[in-house]
Amino acid sequence: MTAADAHQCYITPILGAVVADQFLGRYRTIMVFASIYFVGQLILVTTSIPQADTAAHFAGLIAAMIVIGIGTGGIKANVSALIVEQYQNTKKYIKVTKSGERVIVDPTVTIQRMYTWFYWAINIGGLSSMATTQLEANVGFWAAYLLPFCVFFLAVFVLIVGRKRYVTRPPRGSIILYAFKVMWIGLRNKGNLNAAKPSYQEGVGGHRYKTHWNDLFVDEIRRALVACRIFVFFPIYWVCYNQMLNNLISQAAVMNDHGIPNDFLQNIDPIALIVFIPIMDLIIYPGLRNIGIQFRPITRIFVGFMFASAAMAYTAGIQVALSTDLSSHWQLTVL
Amino acid sequence: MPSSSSWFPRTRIRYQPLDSDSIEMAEHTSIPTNAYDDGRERSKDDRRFSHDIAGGDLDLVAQQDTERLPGYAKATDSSSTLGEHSSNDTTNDGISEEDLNTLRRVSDKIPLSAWLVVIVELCERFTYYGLTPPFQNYIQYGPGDQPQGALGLGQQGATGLSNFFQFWVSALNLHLHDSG
Repeated sequence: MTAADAHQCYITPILGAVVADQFLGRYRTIMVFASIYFVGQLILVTTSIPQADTAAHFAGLIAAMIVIGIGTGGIKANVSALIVEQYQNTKKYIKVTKSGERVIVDPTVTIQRMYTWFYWAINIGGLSSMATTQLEANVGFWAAYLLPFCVFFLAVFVLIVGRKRYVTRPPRGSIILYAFKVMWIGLRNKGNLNAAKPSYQEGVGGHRYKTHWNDLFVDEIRRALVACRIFVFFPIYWVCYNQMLNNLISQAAVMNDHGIPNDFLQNIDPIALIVFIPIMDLIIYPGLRNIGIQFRPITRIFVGFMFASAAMAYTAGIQVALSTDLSSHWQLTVL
Repeated sequence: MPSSSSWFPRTRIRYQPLDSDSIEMAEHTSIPTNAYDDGRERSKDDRRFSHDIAGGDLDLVAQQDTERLPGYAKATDSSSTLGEHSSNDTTNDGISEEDLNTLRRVSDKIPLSAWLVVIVELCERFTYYGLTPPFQNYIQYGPGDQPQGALGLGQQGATGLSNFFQFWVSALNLHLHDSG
């Protein structure tokens, strides 16, 4: 896994993480949010049957969106943290393989391997809309929503069956809340984050704030905040990216579809990702490195944004021409 | 050996002796995972582990970053911010330097419970990515339209609601795109 890849797993989601760390513990938090998620899907499936009237469709959809949003927000945070907790060994050790080779069994490698599988699971899951969009076109919306509902039931089943097996730690207090406290103290002191350091507090005489962290933690928060400057540009990217889920689907609806449902096309995105991530990681980036071109994360993001802009310009052109041929857009997500 | 850390808790790493026992003591400063609870000697200052509380997964990156930092910024102990030392924090777990440099590194057996978590994640993402794409047609078109829909709110309404949903999910979740 490259650094850019790896960073994805380290972005800590907020809501569920706080609940888990502060109150419930990881497993119970997942179960609570899974139940919420479940309710949201139940609302969606039942209100999407053809017998329901438009008002029921509408109310059901809004309620489902809100409830499902809470469910997925809460689960996502904790599942990605739960997986790493399952591997308890922290020491490297030497093992002799069957072929007689001495090797070092390394916890870091093990956890990377676990995350590699984890991301494959995500990518495979991302292909599910191939099935649901076909169901939508050929059977109905209720069927398109029922299939994920059933699959989600399997997730809950696996969670319950394995409940004795999961290694979980009790809640210990959330680092995220500490991080917010540090930033708040920084703001109150005209942007001086050092004011949140225990050593600074001692220096000025008396503790004005309760500090549950050490100086290094404050320095790390500062580094994180500096790194966050790049995110200023991300809303623009997301405006483009989200087009795939809305306007581009609408655009495809007025084109000649050759029998393919209009919303089936956005599947090209996860497929392109599955194809291009290994190509980028194993061929393009190492190749560039070999000929002396350092392709650093910021440059990658820049190039990715250029591709996204080009794709948007391209689709805008199609819209203007109201072309009837099915030109499938694709978007290369370098990030 | 007697625990010198109880006498000089803050300066422990600087006085790290060279015999192999001491490596055990320095170990928890660079553990990449969050499994501290197995009887290893623990620091008195629990906050040293606080980076890990949200799930432990930050540590891998932190460790990689550490290697690129100047010496004063390297150690995980807060005393290091005073710039007094630079020490090699990495632990050998009793494996000789030569073996560390020459032997191939392999993954341990992945526990069954981790596979179960992978399945849960697969199902959850399957659900999420399966649900969202049909929303656009569902909202934009009416029951008699081609393609078929349900609400008939038009492209503007559909795009608006879809963006609201994306915003709502990200506001609660703050995750970047999973698969990229």
